Amino acid sequence: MLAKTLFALTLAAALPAVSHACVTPDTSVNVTFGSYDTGVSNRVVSGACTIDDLFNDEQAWGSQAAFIAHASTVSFELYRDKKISAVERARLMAAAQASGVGSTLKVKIIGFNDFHGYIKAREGSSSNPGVASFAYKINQLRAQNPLNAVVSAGDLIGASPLTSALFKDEPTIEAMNRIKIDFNAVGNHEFDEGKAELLRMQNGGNHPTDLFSGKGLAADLKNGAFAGANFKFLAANVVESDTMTTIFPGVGVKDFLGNKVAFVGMTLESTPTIVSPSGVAGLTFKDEADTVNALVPQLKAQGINSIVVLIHEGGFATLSGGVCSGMSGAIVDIVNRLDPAIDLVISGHTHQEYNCLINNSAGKPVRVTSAGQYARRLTDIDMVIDTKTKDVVSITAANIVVPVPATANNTVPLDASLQEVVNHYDALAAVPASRVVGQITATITRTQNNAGESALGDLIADAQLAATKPVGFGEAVIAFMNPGGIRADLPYSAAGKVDGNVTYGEAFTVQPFGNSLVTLTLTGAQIYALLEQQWGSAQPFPRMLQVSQGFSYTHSFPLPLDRNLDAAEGVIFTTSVRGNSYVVPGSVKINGVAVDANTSYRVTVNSFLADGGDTFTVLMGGTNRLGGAVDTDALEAYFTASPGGVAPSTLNRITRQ
Amino acid sequence: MNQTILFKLLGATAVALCCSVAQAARLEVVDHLAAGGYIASTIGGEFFSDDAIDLSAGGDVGLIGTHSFDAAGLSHGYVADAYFIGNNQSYAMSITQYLTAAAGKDLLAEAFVSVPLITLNIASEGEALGSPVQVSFNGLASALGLSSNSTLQMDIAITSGSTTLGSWLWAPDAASSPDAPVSFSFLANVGQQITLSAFMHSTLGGTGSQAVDGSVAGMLGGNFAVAAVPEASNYAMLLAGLGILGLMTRRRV
Repeated sequence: MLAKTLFALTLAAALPAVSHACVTPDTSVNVTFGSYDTGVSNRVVSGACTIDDLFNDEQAWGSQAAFIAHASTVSFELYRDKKISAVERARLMAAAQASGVGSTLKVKIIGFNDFHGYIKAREGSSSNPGVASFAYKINQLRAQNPLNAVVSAGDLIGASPLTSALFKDEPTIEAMNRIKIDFNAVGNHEFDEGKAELLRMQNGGNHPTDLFSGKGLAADLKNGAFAGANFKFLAANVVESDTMTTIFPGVGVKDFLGNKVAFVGMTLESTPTIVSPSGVAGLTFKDEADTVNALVPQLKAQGINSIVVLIHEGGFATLSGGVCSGMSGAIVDIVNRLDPAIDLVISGHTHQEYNCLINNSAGKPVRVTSAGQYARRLTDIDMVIDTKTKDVVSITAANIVVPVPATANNTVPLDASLQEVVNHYDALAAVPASRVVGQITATITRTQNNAGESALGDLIADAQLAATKPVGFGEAVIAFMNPGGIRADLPYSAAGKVDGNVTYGEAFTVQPFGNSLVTLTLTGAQIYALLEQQWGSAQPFPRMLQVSQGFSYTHSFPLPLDRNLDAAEGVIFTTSVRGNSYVVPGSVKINGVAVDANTSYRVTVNSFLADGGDTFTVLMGGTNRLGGAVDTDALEAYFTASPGGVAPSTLNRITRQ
Repeated sequence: MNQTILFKLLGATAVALCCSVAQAARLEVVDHLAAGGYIASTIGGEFFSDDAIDLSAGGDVGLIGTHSFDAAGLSHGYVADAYFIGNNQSYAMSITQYLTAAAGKDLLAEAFVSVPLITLNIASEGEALGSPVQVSFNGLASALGLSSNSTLQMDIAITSGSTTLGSWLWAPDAASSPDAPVSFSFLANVGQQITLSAFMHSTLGGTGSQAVDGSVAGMLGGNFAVAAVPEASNYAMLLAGLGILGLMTRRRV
């Protein structure tokens, strides 16, 4: 008996555990491996355990050899204890080989993108679940399969709300450290504050000047300072312009029981066109598909045949019955050019939720996913790897909802460790959020009049024009602001402030996205086309761009614009109204001068619109792009330049015929 | 098994457990050769054979042969397998042979696994290339069912070029203890390539004059651990430290 214990102990050191509690013994008639019937009768052999219980055929094995080695050990021990005969051992071993157990390995990949520092539930939007609910969901998925990787496709940080942004996004890095994510491919917003700051996110150390840096909980700090990311930033296509070496590793490899999966991380090649030039100084952004394809031979030489691309570039899906039936956008061309060795593409940037197939360079469909934005979704991906070829044989994916906790009587489960981080920074942010950044003479609301214009929209567009008007900063003559980017009103009176003051917290709440400004050139004809896209054929409802002072036009849109359309109006909109032209020809003017179809104009929008967000695809055709300030900084500068306080505008820029 | 041997075995296992935690490097399969199978024949001229199948993939070596030959009055077969599993740094091999023969059936059968080489690279897990490491193998061997009708032998060795770094050989008989600890260790360097070779062979036969119903089986299994070897200067510091402690103790006395 002692010898047996010893033998088991020795084997336990050499091989995966063979011990079982056998609370619910397997009582099948014959011993089975997977679904394969060994032909050996199943019976109780050890305590409550049957022979079947002692074989771990249900668990993950890194190779067929690993499972058969386990079966060999267990069957030898049973034979030695005279629980099975030599003939039965031979049968069991033949079955272990024939069963195919261990010939494939299931790995779970949990993907997300465009997290943008939304660690606090409901910050910026009541749809944002916060990182505590997000982490709970991730751990729920992880519990389904211990062989997993949690990966981000960029914009993990940057354009983040107050609770993360105020502390230089260190809260988000610390939260992700606690979740123990594996990799984050850089996105354009990772470059918002430049290379040095991005490297600090990886390597740690406090910000050289910002006093809000290094304020984390003791458990998250290292030597009393910001610790940096425990996960790896990846950037295969971002190189130093002088040395052509990547600023971060291009590839992260995770080993699953001897089966290696490579994650190639990249941002969009056109990152410099949507990031402030100072953020990408000295860096070159290379073609996405070419970069991946060049890495494939290197990976194969290392015996790696399972390759996942994490790319901060995306598209827009067409749904049919809830299932993806088509894709548009920059990701399509990239995937069309990918080497067939690429097994999966986890994408981002467009903040869309999709789960589509796009053909690779061999014309074979590749799974391409994106999990929306702001921690609201996770992509749950099961990847089956052939343990002999080490290549992926099948992939299934689904986007799942991360629930938003209730403000009272919450029943959504939260991860306590992550909530601790959020509560810590939320408390620290209370004082800076009250910093006064400007004055207003009355409440300025985002409520639109029936022509589609709001006072707050006017104010934001004016601030954006002011920031990009000077020579060298864009020389803009018009600014357009998307209405969905204005998240709250600016109240004249509120608890905890002097009437008329605008606090930093309030400004942040109005524009929580931290978009940067982009100035681009459009022709007059494109400006007309842009305005017609407010009720274009792809719009789910009319979206009225807010316009800067000096710009004016008249339209004849036939439905109300001072409120949301009701259901009946919505049907009318989608069936017979949208897609038609309503801008009155000749009415579009800048400072009273009619816009000419063939003349070029410098136009400022935020980076979201510049990428064609909210289906304003005309803006994607804008040329001579120049990145600018973050939108809230532009707003604060505008307040500073208006010491007497800003008054609500007269709503006279957009008129209805 | 007496208590002394048991404690030794437990100690060996504890070492294996301890040192697998503090891995300085790990063994990675570079290449391998493996074969195995079964041959049996009767005086009457019947001949039986089977070849093992190589299931090796990636970082794992796996070889398995198993077959049952069933006929009226003569039933026999075998399992012969060998594995190096990279994930848990284990090597194991086993044979089980059985024979049921009616009187008058004279069969001699042999089974074997032969792993003439598994080339292993001592891959760094943080240690610099060329750093000295101690590689150890600890496990257990078993021999079951040996009788005057059967034989069993097994060996495992690690070589580097023509130098044998560590080896273990066992040819048990019916009088042997069914279990024997397997343990050896040697010094090597991170980045060095070493060769594991192993062999197991068994025979089982009937007398022909009377019915036979028997089996013979062997197993050898254990795991490798690679531990960092402190630099000579570290030893010196350790000794100096111990010396100071010794002086302090003496002065207190």
